[in-house]
Amino acid sequence: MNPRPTEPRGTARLAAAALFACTTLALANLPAADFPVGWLLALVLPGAVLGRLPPATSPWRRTLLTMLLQTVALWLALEFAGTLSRPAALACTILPPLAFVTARQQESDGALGLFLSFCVLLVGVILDGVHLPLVFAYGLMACLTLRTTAHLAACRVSRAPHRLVARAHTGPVLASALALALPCLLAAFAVERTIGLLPTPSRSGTSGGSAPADDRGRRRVGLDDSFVLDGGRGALADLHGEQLVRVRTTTGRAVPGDLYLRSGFFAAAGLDRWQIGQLDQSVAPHAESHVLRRPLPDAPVQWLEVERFAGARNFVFAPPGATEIRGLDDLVADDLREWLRQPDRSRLDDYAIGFQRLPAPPADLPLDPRARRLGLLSLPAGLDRAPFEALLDAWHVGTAPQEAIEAIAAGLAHHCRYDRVEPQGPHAHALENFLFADGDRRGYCMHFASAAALMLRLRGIACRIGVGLYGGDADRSEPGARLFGSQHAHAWVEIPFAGRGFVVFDPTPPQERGRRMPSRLDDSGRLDTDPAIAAAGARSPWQALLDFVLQPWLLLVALLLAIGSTLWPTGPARRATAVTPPVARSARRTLARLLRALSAAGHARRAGDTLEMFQRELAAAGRLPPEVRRAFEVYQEVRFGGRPFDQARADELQHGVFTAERMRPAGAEPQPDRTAGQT
Amino acid sequence: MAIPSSSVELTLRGKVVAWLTALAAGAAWLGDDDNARLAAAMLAAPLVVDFVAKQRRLHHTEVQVAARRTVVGALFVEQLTLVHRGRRPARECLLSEPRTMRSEPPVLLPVLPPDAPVRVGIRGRSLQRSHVLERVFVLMSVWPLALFRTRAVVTVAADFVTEPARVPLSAEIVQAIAEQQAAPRDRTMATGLEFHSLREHQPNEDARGVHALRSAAIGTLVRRVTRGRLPHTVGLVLDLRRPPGRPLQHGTRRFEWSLGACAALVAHLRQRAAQVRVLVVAAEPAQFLVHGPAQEHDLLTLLAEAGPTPHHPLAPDLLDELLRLEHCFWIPAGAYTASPEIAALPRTVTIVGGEFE
Repeated sequence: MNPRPTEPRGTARLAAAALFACTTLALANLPAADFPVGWLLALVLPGAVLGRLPPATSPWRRTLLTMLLQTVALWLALEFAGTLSRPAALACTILPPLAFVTARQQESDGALGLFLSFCVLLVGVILDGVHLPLVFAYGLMACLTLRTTAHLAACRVSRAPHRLVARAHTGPVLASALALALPCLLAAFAVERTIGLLPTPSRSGTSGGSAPADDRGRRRVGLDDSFVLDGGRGALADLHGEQLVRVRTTTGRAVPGDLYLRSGFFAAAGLDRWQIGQLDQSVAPHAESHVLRRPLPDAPVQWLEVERFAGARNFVFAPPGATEIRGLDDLVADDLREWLRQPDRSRLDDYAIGFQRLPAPPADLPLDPRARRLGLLSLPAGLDRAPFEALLDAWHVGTAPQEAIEAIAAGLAHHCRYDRVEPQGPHAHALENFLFADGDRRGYCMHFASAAALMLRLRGIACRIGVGLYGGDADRSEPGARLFGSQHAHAWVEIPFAGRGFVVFDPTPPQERGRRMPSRLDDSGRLDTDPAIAAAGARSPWQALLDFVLQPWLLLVALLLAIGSTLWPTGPARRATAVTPPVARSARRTLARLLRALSAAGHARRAGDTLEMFQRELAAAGRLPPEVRRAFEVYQEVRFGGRPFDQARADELQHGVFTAERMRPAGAEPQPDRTAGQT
Repeated sequence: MAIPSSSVELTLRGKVVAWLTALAAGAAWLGDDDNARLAAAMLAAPLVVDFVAKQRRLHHTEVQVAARRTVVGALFVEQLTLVHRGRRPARECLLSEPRTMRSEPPVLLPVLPPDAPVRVGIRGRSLQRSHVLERVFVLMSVWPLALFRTRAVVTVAADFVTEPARVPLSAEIVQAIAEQQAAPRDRTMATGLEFHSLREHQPNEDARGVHALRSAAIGTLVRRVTRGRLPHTVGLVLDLRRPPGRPLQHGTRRFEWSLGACAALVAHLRQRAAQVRVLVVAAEPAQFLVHGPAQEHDLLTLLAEAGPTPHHPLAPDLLDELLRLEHCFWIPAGAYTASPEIAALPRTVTIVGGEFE
C-alpha cells in the first residue's frame, strides 16, 4: 500500500504483497478450463491499470480510459479465447474490482481486496473443488493481510510519526501473522467439521458428516469413484461441479424427473474394479448430425437440448434410447456400444439429442447376439462362484432376462441396505463384503449395480454397468428444464436386447437413486475416513489416532473449550505497587464504610461523581451533617493533601461514619407534630 | 468514580465478517452445502482466533501520573508511567485520555510487557474548566486481526485542575484603580502618575496629553500613557449568583469569561505587587486574602470548581472587610448586575463584564 506519512513503509509493503498474493492465489484457484488465461488477463489488466493511475487524473479521463481498455480487452478475449461458460461469466464480474483495489492500495483496499479475493476463491472452489495447497496458502496470506492492515490502521489512528512506528515493526507483525495462521487454519477445519454436526432440513436421517474428499481435496458427491472406475477414460472420475448439465426439451415440455443421462459404461467386470473394456472409437463423419441408430416405429422421437458447463467438458450425455445427436462439431463415437465423447480441448457447445422412451421389452425379446463379442458375459478372474450361485438359488433367479432382473432386484433390496459407505466385512473384496458380510450389509448404487451385473452374467445374461446422471433438479430459472450436477451421479445396469439397444435396469432402490448427500458415519458412530483402507479391512494405528482426533465432536469440544477459556472470569490484577499511597489505605476503607452508611440512608453516590459533587448533592438536600462533611475533608486531606492519617483524623473520619450510620433513610424523616402548639 | 473495566466488541470489519459467517453458516445448515460450509469455516476461523487471542486484561494496567494544573485550552505534555499487570504482554494499544485528548490522536504503544514500567508522553489540552480527583485513561487495542476491539478504562487518582482560561483585560479595567489613585501612599514617596508608554493620539482626545517632544521627533502626534501606583490591597467580589428567577444552566459564556477575568485580574494585581481580598459570593461564600502563591493557588482551584448558584441575599457582614478598601472590582459572573451591595460599597467600584448585558 502506498505508505502515508504515519505508516511504516515496511509494513505497508508487506500488506501490499500479502494482498497481491491473496489475489494471485484466488485467481490460481479458478479452473483453467473455465477461465482461460486470455479471459483472466482481459478482466484483470484494465482494473489494475486503472488502479495504478495517479489519483490526480481527471475522473472523466479515468472513466473513458477504463471503458476503452475494458472494451478492447473483452473483445480481444472473445476473439481469441472463445466464449465463457455461464457460471464463469457470472464470476468474472468480481475480477475487475479485485484487480483495481489490489493495484490501488489505498487505506480501505486491504479489507475490500481480501473480501473480493475470498469471493473469487469460493467461485473456484464451487467450480473446481478444493485445492488444499492453494487454500492453505490463501489462508496464510489472508492472515498476513488482516494482521498488517490491523497494524496499519492502528498507526493511522495514532498518527504517530513515521520514524517512531517504523522502528522494528515489520518483523513482529510478520511473525505474529505467521503464528496466527496455523490456529486460523485449525479453527477453520474445526468449524467446518462441527457445522456438519448440525441436523439440517436438507439431510434425511440422523447421521451427519460431509462428503468424502479425494486426494486433491475435491468433494465427491453422488457416485463415489473410490470404488475404482478407472477404465482409463474414467467415466465419472473427472465430473465435478454442482452444475454440470442443463437439459430442456425442444417442445417446452418438462423434462421427466426420472431421466437417465449416460456418460459412459463399464463392461470389464471386477470384484473391486470395473473397467470400460474395449472401445472401437471413430470420428463421427458428419459435423452437424450423427445418427446412433434408427428410431423404432412404436414410439415418437423426443428431442432434448443439453447445455454443458465447464465441469462436463468433453463429456457427451445421452439418454437411453438415443437415436441422433446434433450440434457437436467434433465427436468421437462407438455406435455399437453407444459410447460418445469429445476430444480434449473441444468447444463447450450445446447440442441436441433425440431419443425414444420405449416401453419395457417383451418377455420373449432375445438378447443382442453381439453381446458375447462385446465382452458383456465375462466374469472376474478368480471369482468364487459358489456363494453367488447360492444367493441366486435362494432368490430363485432364472435365466429369462425379465424374471432374473426382477428377482435380483427384490433379493438385493431384501438382502442389502443402501448407504453411502463402503461395505465393511471380513472379505477381501468390497463386493463380497456387500453381499456376504455378516450383519449389516450396506453399499451404494455402484455396489448394487455391480452385484446385479455379476449375478446376471452368472445366469448367462449379458449386461454392463452404465454410469452417468440421474434425476436432476428442476431449474428454477427456466421452467421445465432440469439441472444435473455431480451430486446426481448414478450407476445402473444395462442389458442389450436385440433391436432395442441397451435397456436400463436399475437395481438401486428407487427412493435412493441420485440421493444427494452421502453420510460418513455408520450407525456405530465410527468415521469412515478412507474407503480404500476400510475396504482392505486394516487400519494403521496412526490412521486410527488421526480418525479419533478429527472426530467432529472432539473438535467441537476443543473449540468450545478455547472460547470458554477466554470468557472465564479472570481474577483481580496483580498489583505489585499500589497507586494508592499506603498511608491512605485505611482512610479509604473508612471512607468506604462511610459511603456504605450513606447509601443505606438513601444517598448512594452515582457512578462518575467525585466526592465534591457528592458532598454538594448532600448539602443541597440538607443531608450533610457537619461530622460527615468533616470526614470528607479529612479524607481529601489525607488522600491528596499529603497530611498524615493520624489518630485525630482517624477519629474524625470514624465519627463521620457513626453519624452517617445513625442517619434515617431519606423520606423517612419524622413528620412534624401537627398538634404541637395547639395545647 | 469510574470503575476500571474492560470490554470486547466487534469492529466494523468484524461485524461484516460475522454477518457473512452467519449467512454462510445458515446456508450450510439449510442446504447442507459443502461449499457454504467451507465458506462459513473460513470466515469464522479468523473471528474465533481473534476472539480467543484477544487481550482481555488491559484494565489491569496501572497508570502513574503526577498532579497537574492547566488552563482551559492550553496544550500540555503529560508524562505517564504505565505498568501492565496482565500475564501476557499487551500489544498495539492506543492510549488516550478522553477528557484531554479530544483533538489529539491517541498514542500507540507497541508493546506493554508485564510488570515493566513504560514511560510515555501524551499531548493533551483540557477544554473544560474542572477539578477532578481521578483521571480516566482508555486503552484500546485491535490486536491481532482487528475483528474485535478491546477497550479498557483505567483510572488513576490524581489531582487535575483546569483553571479558567485567562481573558485579556481592557485598559479601562487595568487602569481603573490608577485613575482613581493619584497619590501612592503606601510604597513609594514619589507622587503622581508614572509614565508607562506612548501611544497614537486620537482626534477626540484631550490634547493636553500629547507628548510634545516625541511628537515632534517622529512627526506624529503621540500621547503618553501613564498609570498610577496601586494601593496595597484591592478588593474583588466574584458574584456567582444568578439573578432571581433565572435558570442556572444559562449564561455559561458569560460565566466562564468572568471566571477567566477574575483569574487574569488577580494575576495582574499580583504582578503589580498588590494583595487582593477576594470574596466569592456563592452558596457558601468564601473569602481569600491573596498575598502569595499559596492563596492564589487556592483561589484558582476554587475557580476551577465554581458553578453558578441560585440567587440569595448576601449576608451584610461579608462586606465588612471590603468596606475598608479604597477600590473594589465586582465581577457579576452569574449576570446579577443589579446587586444592591454594589451601591453599598462606599468607595470606587469597577464592574467587570458589565458589557455582556
